Amino acid sequence: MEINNESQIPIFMQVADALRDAIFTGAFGEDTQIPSTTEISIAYRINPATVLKGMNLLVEEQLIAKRRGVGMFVSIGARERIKEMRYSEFSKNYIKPLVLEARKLELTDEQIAALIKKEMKTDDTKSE
Amino acid sequence: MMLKAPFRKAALNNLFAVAIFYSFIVLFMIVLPLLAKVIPSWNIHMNVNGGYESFSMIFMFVLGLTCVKDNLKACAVFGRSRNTALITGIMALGTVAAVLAVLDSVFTPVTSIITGGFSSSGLMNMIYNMIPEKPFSYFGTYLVWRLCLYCGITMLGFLLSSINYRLPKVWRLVFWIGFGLLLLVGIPLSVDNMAIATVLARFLDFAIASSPWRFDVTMVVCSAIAAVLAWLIQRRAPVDRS
Amino acid sequence: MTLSLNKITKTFGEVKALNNVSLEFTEPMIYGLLGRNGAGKTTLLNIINGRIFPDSGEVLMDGIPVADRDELLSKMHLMGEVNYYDDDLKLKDAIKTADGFYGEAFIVAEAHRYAKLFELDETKKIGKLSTGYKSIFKCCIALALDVPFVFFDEPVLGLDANHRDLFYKLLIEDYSRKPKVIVLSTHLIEEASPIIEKFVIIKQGRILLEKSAESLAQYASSVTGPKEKVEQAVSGCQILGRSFIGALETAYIVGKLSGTCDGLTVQNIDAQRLFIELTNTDKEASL
Repeated sequence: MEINNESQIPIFMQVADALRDAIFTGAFGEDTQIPSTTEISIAYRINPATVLKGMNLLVEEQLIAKRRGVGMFVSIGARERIKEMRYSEFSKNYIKPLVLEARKLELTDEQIAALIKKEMKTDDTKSE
Repeated sequence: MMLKAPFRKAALNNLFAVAIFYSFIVLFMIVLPLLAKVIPSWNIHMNVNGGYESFSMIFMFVLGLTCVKDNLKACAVFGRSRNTALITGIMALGTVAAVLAVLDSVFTPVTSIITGGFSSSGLMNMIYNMIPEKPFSYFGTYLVWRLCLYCGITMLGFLLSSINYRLPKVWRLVFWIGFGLLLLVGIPLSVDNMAIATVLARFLDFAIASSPWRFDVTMVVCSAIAAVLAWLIQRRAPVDRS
Repeated sequence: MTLSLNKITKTFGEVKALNNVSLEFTEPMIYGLLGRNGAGKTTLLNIINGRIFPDSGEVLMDGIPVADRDELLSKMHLMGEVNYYDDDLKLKDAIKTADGFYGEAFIVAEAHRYAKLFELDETKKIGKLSTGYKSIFKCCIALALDVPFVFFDEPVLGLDANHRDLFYKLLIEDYSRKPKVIVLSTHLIEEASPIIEKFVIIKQGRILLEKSAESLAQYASSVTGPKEKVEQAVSGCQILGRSFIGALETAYIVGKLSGTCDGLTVQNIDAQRLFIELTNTDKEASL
């Protein structure tokens, strides 16, 4: 994960994204403790208050929960929930911009579908 | 006020300088006359009268000149006020004055015994015609007299240095040239003038030469005045950038 | 504990270095003090720490004037640009001196640890250090202090990228362990801004802006597009500055665009860009 100061996305959102990503990829396993605010803020050279704000987003989403006197733990089922969240936003984040750009380029529906198919094929061969 | 740390620092700095200075002086004052005795062909007539005091006076003057800035800087960087810097600076100088007064009071008679010169001789018996019968006679009087002398001298240096510290660069030059002129031209000229010379002589007679105790009082008063003036100067002085 | 500046004015000859500045440092937080060269940052920090004195106004700690009070002055430390340490003092002796002055508030072991991390040779004399290493050493002392107010004036001046990174790391580590008011005065806004919680921007001896990082991010935005369209869109907005590439214009405005923004790119602007637009002189802005 890399924090980008110049990004349009506020730093606390970037922190939240990075944490979600870490849970989703399994780096932070369910029912395990995640690094403390201090650890994260030192690692990325960002203010602890900013990190806390990012973490609180995940608490609100019930992806992580505080255990008194111990620290933050990844909730059971968090990974599945992130998957659902990402799925529901997939259309908005990826398909909509694609369609918008395609319309600007005056591509037909068939052309778009063909392009997607082609990309999927090259990706398959790469992963093999 | 939190005086301990700045005082400790200033005093240790000063005492370190004293140690170096005094080793040289003792070597010079004892070894040279002894050598002169052993090797008569040198034909040096060593007179150690007032020797320790003269050196100590110069040393105290220079120490007073140099200690202002260091102390202010240390206090500025480590969270102490101007008042603390000034008080601890003066305290540290007083400590050195006391140390030197004791050393001189001991070493003057000791040196004269070793080198076989006059029994205890120094500036005081030159001024007041106090001829000691034994090497250590007038010890207490002498000790206090020296202490007051060194305090007065060092506070003069302290005051001059404070003025120098506060003045802009160009004015510093003017100030020191002016001070030099006063010493080299002003005083001889005023001595030539009968009226001024009489007043001056009367004052010196009264305040310094009449008795050692009166001299002590004069020195203490002068030191106090210098300290107050230095305080007025340093109280709101910016800490020097250089 | 609250440290407040009450209507501070300071002139140097003809120049008004600070003009009626009032400011408060209350909660433990990392503040960023930003300003261009000669804006008055160093003067401000020097006055707070009693190195120089204001013409009028005063510095108060919990309502009590700081000047002439050791017990209050020793609750602050300024890591300044100018070296006030004795040049012929060895680093380890300077650490001892700091310990003597600050007592329990100075953690000697920490100072040694920091010196080691920065690969300082403690047997060296301060005067023999390069400018960068002098800054580093002063930072080591400041970081090892557990006083409620610590000020850094250009701490990373002359430090290479690795040492700067290490400094920021240690600063956050220190701050997380012992929360306190930390004021960071720096020109390297971009790399320091993720650390800063509250920005104080000073211009020509006056406080121009005092905002949390959050509200600063919302404070201004840029609008980019064809010149006529941009001008039309931003009319009525408070404009901080404009830049042109041919007919393509970027206008920096306070707040967000209220009207339509069809065909225009609207973006947030970061602290550095905002700082530049706020503190540009007319001459620089016209270039």
